Amino acid sequence: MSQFPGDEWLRGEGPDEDIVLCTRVRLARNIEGHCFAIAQDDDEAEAVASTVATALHPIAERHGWRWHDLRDVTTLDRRCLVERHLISRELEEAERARGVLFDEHGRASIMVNEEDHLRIQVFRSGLRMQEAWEAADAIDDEIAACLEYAWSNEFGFLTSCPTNTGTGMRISVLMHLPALVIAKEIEKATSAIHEMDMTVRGLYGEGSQDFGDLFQISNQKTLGASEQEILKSLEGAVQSLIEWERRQRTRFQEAPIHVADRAWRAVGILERARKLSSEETMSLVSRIRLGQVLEIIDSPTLQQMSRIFLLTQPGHLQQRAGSPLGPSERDELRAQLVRQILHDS
Amino acid sequence: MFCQICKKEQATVQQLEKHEDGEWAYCQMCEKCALAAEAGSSATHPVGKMLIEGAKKKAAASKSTPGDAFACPGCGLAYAIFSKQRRLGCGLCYDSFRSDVEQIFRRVQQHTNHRGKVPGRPQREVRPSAELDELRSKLQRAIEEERFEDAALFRDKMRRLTEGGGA
Repeated sequence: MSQFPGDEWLRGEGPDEDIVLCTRVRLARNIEGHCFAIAQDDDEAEAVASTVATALHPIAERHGWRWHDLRDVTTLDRRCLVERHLISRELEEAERARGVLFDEHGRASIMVNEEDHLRIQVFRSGLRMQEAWEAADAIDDEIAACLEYAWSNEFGFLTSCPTNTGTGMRISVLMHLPALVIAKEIEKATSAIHEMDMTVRGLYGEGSQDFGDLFQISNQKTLGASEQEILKSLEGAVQSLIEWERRQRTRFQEAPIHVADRAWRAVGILERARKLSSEETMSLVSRIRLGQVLEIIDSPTLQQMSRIFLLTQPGHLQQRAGSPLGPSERDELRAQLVRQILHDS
Repeated sequence: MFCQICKKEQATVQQLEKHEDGEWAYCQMCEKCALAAEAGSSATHPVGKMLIEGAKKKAAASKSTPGDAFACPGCGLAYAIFSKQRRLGCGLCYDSFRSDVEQIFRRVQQHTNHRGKVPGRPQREVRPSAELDELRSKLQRAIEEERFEDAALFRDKMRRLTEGGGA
């Protein structure tokens, strides 16, 4: 069995790993002389995808990235790539020529012909903003040496959406904030983050708040500040949230029976249930994870929780079954898989 | 916070929209209203109707905003589509739809100038800006006055300058 249940973002190690699952830095780039996605016809899309894939080939070889033309990838496999966070839903659903490069550990992925010609993504486990930025910056420089970016002195990197113009940089930090949710302080916390000009979304984007008590905190602005200034601002916001969550967790540790009871009840359901929805599974995993990081319970392990997190998502379940499944069938298979993961140690 | 459109459901989505008064801003919406706005589907849905009619009204009334029929000479993207989809079609769109773009920057970015990294290609030099600035002003005036053939000429000159001197 692999040491890690999935890609870098699920490795569960790194600074502040008890709260921060993953740091992601994304850079949006377009190449000069070609239309952006909304104005492309089929020929233009083909030309962009081909030009970029060809130009990036030597870089891909150096980094050990594999190229995947998404037109050759099945619907189910595309869904799994979304669930692994290697591609976005936009790239999954688009019909134009497009693809993705990524390494086997999911530390970096480059989407080609998504909303922009290039979307460079670097992932690091835990809170590692500077490291992720430096890695993304280095990849960006390698690509800039062989492709001319659409860029202006005035506006910086020219992107398809004006909300990405300038640095084209979005830093996102995936955080587990169960204590703030339980204490009903999460709305106050997220309002405070909004006041700092950052955005807070659930794991699967807008509208998925409270899914597994997981939240993505990202910078909102990309223009008018340097990459380091944006990074430092976000770092400040994230540190505030970490301190807030830790203070609340400390209060729970003073009366551990409540956390223990919630965690052990969750273990009981996961071990015995015959049907589990995604939402219920993630809610139960969250309770167990809180118990684990507070060292109130020692079993199951964080590794098992990470495997449940990744493998019980709808696409992965259906890939395991070898065919599309309806919601009820997925719920049954999910429960079966969870029992199997908890049984294996 | 409640949805700014229906004012009934909780706002969970933040989306860039052009309001009735022609101003761009982030709009806080519930999922249902956001889906309706995104699909634009609904010329019959209150959201879609409001946004599309508002944009058309303002574009028709304003001298500095191109009409819906105007298209970027670089990529052919119609102003109406940019206005509805909030996406640009090429680098030249930044000039073709300049007044809207700058308005979006002022509202959602609070800045209009880049202060971050410069692309790392060593051969790339900072282009001589005076001539390009002048051409950009001329392009903008030509667009406003609907002299599209002149606009195409200025666009081509800017491209030649950019290709010759790097950007």
